[in-house]
Amino acid sequence: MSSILKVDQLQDSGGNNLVTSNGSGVITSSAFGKVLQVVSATTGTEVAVTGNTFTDTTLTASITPISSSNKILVLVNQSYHLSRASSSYAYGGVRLLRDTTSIFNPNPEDSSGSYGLGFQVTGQTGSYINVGFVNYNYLDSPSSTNSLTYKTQIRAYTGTGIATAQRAGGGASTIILMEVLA
Amino acid sequence: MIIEAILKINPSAQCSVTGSDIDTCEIAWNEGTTPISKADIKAMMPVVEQELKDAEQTAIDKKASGKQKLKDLGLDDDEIKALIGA
Repeated sequence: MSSILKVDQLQDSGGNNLVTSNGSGVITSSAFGKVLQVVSATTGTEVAVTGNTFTDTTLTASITPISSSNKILVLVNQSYHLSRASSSYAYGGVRLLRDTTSIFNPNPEDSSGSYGLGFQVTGQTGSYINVGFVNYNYLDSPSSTNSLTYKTQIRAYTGTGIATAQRAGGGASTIILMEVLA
Repeated sequence: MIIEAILKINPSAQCSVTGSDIDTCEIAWNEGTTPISKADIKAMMPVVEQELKDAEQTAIDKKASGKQKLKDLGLDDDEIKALIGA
């Protein structure tokens, strides 16, 4: 035996609308997650780094949350190349910052830098280049309604070569910020 | 090419270069690295560029000579392709 419950609106015990239907299958909801605003930015400026100092890639975007309880979903598509000079390997890393705070730094590291990204060709040296994109997502809880600036940084592992963002001919990078009601 | 020229002058340099034009790029020198003038870097860039071209040509020549040596040993093209992929 089946049954059908027909309603136009669902409310919580306090009388607040949770879900409303227009009668034609189109519903609106204040109770479920939704995207409130989207900001994106792209850069093609080449930034090359040697050594283990994290350096701005020029990939940056700003957003002002509507509510401090909302979250910011950050989507990064980072053009990232590693090349080696005289060693047989090249390593490096990336990280994401909110203003001046590092909020996502996924690569393992030691005193010489990050080494989560890279390659090694045993027994060979030379100016080989690894071309590619590094993609990552991060759900941030900034607890703020101030303007927030998100940016990426890269660095190389000391003595192993060069990390380059947006290397000439290697494509641009994009960052997307989405304020979500989580 | 800019940062390659810097490393050609100082192989242990730690720096970052923002921009691909030597005249307008911004160079930050890190970890106590002694700055190198843009004029010196600019002078080194053609040298590095030529070295890269030479390295590419050397790789092409070595591949060709290696392939020829395999042919001289009696391998046919299919056997060579199976071995080295070209």
